[in-house]
Amino acid sequence: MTQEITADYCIAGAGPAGAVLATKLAATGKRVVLVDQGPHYSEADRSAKLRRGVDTLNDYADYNDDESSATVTPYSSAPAEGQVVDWMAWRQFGIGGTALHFEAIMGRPIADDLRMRALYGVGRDWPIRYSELEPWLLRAEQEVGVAGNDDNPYASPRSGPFPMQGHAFSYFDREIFGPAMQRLGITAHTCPRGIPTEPYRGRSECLACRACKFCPSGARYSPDRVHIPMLEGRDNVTVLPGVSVRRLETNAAGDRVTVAHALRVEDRSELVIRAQNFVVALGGVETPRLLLLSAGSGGHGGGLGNMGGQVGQHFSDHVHPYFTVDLGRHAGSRLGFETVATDHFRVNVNRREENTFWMLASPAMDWFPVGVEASTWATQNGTLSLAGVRESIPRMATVSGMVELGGNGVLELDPDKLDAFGSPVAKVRMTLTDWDRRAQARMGELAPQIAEAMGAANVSEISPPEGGLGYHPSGATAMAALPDAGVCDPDLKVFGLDNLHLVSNSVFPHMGANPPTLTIIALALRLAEHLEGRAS
Amino acid sequence: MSYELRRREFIQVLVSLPLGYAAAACAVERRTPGQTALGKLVLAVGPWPAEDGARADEFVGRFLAADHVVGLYLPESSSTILSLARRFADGAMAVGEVDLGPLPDGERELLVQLTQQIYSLVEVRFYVSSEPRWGECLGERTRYVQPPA
Repeated sequence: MTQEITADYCIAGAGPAGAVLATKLAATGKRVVLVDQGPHYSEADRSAKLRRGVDTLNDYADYNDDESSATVTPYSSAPAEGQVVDWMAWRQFGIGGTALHFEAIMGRPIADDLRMRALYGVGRDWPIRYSELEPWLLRAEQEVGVAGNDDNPYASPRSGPFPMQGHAFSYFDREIFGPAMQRLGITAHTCPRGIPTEPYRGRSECLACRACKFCPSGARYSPDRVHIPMLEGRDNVTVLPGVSVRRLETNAAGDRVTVAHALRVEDRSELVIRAQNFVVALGGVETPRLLLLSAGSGGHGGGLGNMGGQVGQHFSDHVHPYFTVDLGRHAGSRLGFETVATDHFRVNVNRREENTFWMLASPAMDWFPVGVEASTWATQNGTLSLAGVRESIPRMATVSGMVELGGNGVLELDPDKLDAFGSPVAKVRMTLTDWDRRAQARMGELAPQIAEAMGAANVSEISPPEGGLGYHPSGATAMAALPDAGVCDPDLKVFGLDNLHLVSNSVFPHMGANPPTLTIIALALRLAEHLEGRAS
Repeated sequence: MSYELRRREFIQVLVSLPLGYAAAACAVERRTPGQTALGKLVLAVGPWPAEDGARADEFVGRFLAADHVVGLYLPESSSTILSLARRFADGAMAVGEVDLGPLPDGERELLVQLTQQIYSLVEVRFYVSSEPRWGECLGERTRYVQPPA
């Protein structure tokens, strides 16, 4: 039996964007329905997952481990233009989205990231300037509770302070990585984190549990722990986990979405959601996919908002190269995350010629499975020194980068692979150009210099050029001034549809070398104000 | 639900962790010869000294019970594991070094793979780095800024 729900706003996707937007709209008294295909994990679920990861020696234990393909939508990828570049997704399905397990690095874009085409002839320009986005970034920092210091000489201007002081620099960052950067003429600065250094709006300060994926203390920002509780108990809000939006239907004129057709994952029962406004906040892959799956309604033959053929185009991501060193001395203890980073290579490069990257480092004994390097370095003259392996691991550190790409991927529907409900999955063809590969080559050249500056003895080779894709899919439903350049307008309204908006990293015309979450939340706050203005 | 309530719920489940360890340890009696030999190798290659024997045995129990881990070795490499294990003295723990020269290719590759795998695990990396257990909330926030002891 089909259930019908009516609301003022239907929001598909309860990740950071959807959850933040829902709280702001709900506060106006409007009726909000927030749906997500994944479950709502309880604190007991979190704890049990951590425990089972320990029990089974599975360092990669994660939230979606036990979910079926009905909850965790598959995808496919294919090498593009003869390149072996296999794209893989590290997303999570559930109330909280991928932020369930993220590292809460709250880096900002720099001003030039929004004007890449105009300034450097690469990528696409945002239809808004940094000066317009910046106040929303500041609000997002307050919304999330970002700990940071205004000590980044490479950052674009900010209009206010961080909500709280950043984490004190770790021994490694203060005594080893920071000074090494200084020797190379690079400034290491605070890495802003959505992990409080003091109690913040009901959350604990960080308690140094060093298992941030599950965050036993509850300090790290996660939408299900911060924003969803704000919705509980409100009679104008319905939060529906385990509900998959399959298709958006428009009116006959094709200028308004009228219905979201959904299925309950558990029993495949149908759900029809009628609303005045619809917002798709399904992340970098499922947002364009839903627009493509909604083709055919109201004359939108190629998918909603696709009159310019832009849905799925310019798909982008970050590449994450890294290398490991043996410092020859103990790297020190940690909080479980890096306290400093450097934006040096986001600013001090010729962006016409090469892409930018962001860099940080950490004692390898925490994050990185360094058994291969430790064993290799401890094997000499046909003898494996197990004592040497044990002694070297506390001395090892890993330097990692987050590399900007030009956005030359394509996302489309894959007719040969269907999800659990019979719909084509998203297929990604990721192309890396010469420009995209420059930063990785630069990191490869820098590796021995950085190692020397840290006084390190051994350096591993930098990770493969195509490695580390899949954490930050973006760009496939970009905002633009006109439909021939994107899918939604600067207010995130889908071209040609009066009541359909998008918010996720899929609306980024270009993504610089910073993690996207803070910008996503900034755009959600900006969209909330826009929708409130329209409503009034 | 308040933050404190949610946190208590989290901790209540977490404190039952040793029960999982005990369940894994109970599997000792049902080990095959291949599992017994693999357990012996884990103790020899691993970092635990004899005085940490109980902790080491607990780890071996979980190692042998984890299909995704043990499946890399058993049952396909049973004979190689048995012959490699015979090269270590009974009860050997935290062996200092191994001469790879005399080892046949299969045994050498298996030993290196096992070493790489064990020392890639966060639990083992934390142990050799004298870090408190992964997931244990330390509370005090100055430890990580101090020079290593």
